[in-house]
Amino acid sequence: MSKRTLLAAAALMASAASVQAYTPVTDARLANPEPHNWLMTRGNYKGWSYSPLDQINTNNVKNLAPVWTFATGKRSGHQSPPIVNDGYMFITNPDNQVIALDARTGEEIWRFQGQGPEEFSALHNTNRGVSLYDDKVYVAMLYGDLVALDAKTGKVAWKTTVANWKVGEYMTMAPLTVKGKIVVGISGGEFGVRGFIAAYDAKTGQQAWKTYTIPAPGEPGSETWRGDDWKRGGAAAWMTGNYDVETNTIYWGVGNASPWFGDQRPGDNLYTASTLALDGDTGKIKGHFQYHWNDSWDWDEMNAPTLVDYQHNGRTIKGFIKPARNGYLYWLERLQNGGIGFVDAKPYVYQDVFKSIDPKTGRPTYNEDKKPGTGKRAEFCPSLWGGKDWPFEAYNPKTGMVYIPANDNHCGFLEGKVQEYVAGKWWTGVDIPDIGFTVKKDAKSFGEIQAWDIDAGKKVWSVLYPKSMNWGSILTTAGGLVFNGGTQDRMFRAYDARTGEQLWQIKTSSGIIAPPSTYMVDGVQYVAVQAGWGVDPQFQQGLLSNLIPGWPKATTEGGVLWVFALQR
Amino acid sequence: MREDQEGRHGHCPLGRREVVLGGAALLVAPVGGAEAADNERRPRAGDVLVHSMGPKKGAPLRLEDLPLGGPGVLAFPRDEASGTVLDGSRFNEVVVVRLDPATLGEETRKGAAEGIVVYSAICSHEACPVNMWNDHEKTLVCSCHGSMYDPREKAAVVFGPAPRRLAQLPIKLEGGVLVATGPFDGRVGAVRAA
Repeated sequence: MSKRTLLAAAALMASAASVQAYTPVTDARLANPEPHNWLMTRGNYKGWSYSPLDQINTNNVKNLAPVWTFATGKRSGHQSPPIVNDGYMFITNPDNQVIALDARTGEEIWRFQGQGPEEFSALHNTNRGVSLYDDKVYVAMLYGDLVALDAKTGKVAWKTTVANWKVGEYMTMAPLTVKGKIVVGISGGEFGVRGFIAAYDAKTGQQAWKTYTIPAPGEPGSETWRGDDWKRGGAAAWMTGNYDVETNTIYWGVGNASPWFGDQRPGDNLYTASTLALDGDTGKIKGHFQYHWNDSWDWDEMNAPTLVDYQHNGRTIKGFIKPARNGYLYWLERLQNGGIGFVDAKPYVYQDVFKSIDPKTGRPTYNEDKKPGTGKRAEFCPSLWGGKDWPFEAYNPKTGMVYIPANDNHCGFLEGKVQEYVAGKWWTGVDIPDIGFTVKKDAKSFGEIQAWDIDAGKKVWSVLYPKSMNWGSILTTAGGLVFNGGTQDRMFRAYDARTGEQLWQIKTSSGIIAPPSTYMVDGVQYVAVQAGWGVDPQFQQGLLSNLIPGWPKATTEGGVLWVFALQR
Repeated sequence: MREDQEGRHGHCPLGRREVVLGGAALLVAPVGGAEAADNERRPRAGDVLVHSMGPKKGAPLRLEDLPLGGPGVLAFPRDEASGTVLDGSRFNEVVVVRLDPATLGEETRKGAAEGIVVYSAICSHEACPVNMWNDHEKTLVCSCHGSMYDPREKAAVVFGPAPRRLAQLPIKLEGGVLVATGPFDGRVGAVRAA
């Protein structure tokens, strides 16, 4: 008897009276998504989390109200945005669940429940959404399978195993569709994996390419590793990348090195804490930018930077903006040869590790007292959760601002030890009970939204949350709005994108850590978001409740999809 | 929980692991028998507990391997007829803690021997390894989300998201080694759909 036989999956169908035809998703549509749809995680390939819809706007958002809700039946962290294609909506939930809904009425069309191995353990029981292509929906299973589902029925078209959960590899990100291929990356940076990004043929599920995020001996960058350290060097690729259609380049973020303590793996450790530029057809590495070398703070740089053009010293730069987990905001350049150039960086939260940043290369120097090591305790700010963790920033072309869900006034301390490697088990060099977390005693706020004018390089406004961190991805719209959840008080809020003035809020069913999206059906604009507190925000909340008198110990769990429209 | 301004909730690892093994020693196939013994079956009376990692990996746990008052030590049961270590399923791994017998609850004591208690090392929340130790609270800690279990009280949940206690494996001391006297007294693993 083997547990491996438990990998079967089941799809349930329900009637779908109001949704009929399914519009196939093409390369052209993904390159230029219609304003009324939300075809991918961050709305477009550039990662803007921006919608051109403006029916809901600064004048009328006060009339926004729920039109329907939907209970997912799951606990744990809900972290996927509703993906919408001409009336079909797809959400994912913890425990490998995918649900298709009528985006107008909330009627359930079908439900898919992945069945993982009984013995699989989930450090992050979550999922960050589906990708679309042609008539199929693609979703990564927590336990390592990539599954293609028929968009109209939820029936399995194909499935393939990407990640080996027995060595700690797993998947939580939404796939990225690029020219008929489904691109995914693995999680597992706390288990001593060797990270990779891989692409699969959208029709057949055959692997098209696989690129490791740590070079093998002899490959470029391998000189930044000692001996066999690269084999378990981490560099998970656990968030969805962005894509430049013009140059056919995929930009994908790479996480922390493992173990967490740099003295156990001397060297720069490429491509940990980096953005990789990959050829869209072959996955070949065209270039990279490493935010900090020899990472020792668990500062993953897993989010791909946002593709934007901006002004700098009198010239227009085809570039990136990137609020890094290390607490600095980066202005980068997409170079003609596929490389990534450094332009500028400045701290957006309190950061006490970097002594300087080379103005040409962006390479930092460190205050060594702030770098933890094996048997060497060090305190540093921000904590391992960074100035911003995985929640998405948003860019609004109408304001020229990027909106960052930031967290400030928190620090950490770590002291490393050598842990015996056991496949599939925690292997960071520090035990969970020894992860130090502190807050500034005189802090007046923790979570924030920061709005930065990216041409001017200046912060324009900020919203400060005195009683919560901010774990919410941002949505911005042509209606001049910024939407954000992310606080432990279960609120969902709308702000004026130009001023930061709060214009609307509602108390939802649970904390919101999923990205909101917006779409239009039959002439009505909707805003949709899943509430469902869990995973890291929940763990961090427990730590905070021990630090700050009166801090709530828990926010209620349970997934509910909320859909809003203007009251008529 | 400590009341100070630092967020760490205890310290001291579970077991002293100061050696990095060169390779990923995995699932060693049993040898010696005409047919391979089942290394996935759940523990039962008569199984001997052996170290699951570290320099003594595979050797029976002895009283002197267990520091009084913790931290715990990880072990797998071994089938005594075939000599097969039951490491084919991670759900067979247990954590062994030696405590002052006077501190054990009445129900806990029934499955203990000289203050030694044995529990499933699989968290009831998301099935992660319970392989860490909070030396301040003297509790077993899950390595994913920090749930804490009280080894003196049937591994009841005292902190974190875990929904229920760990299953206890009743044991006796026989010739200086730990021998199971029955199966787990409860469910092993997490309750979830996938």
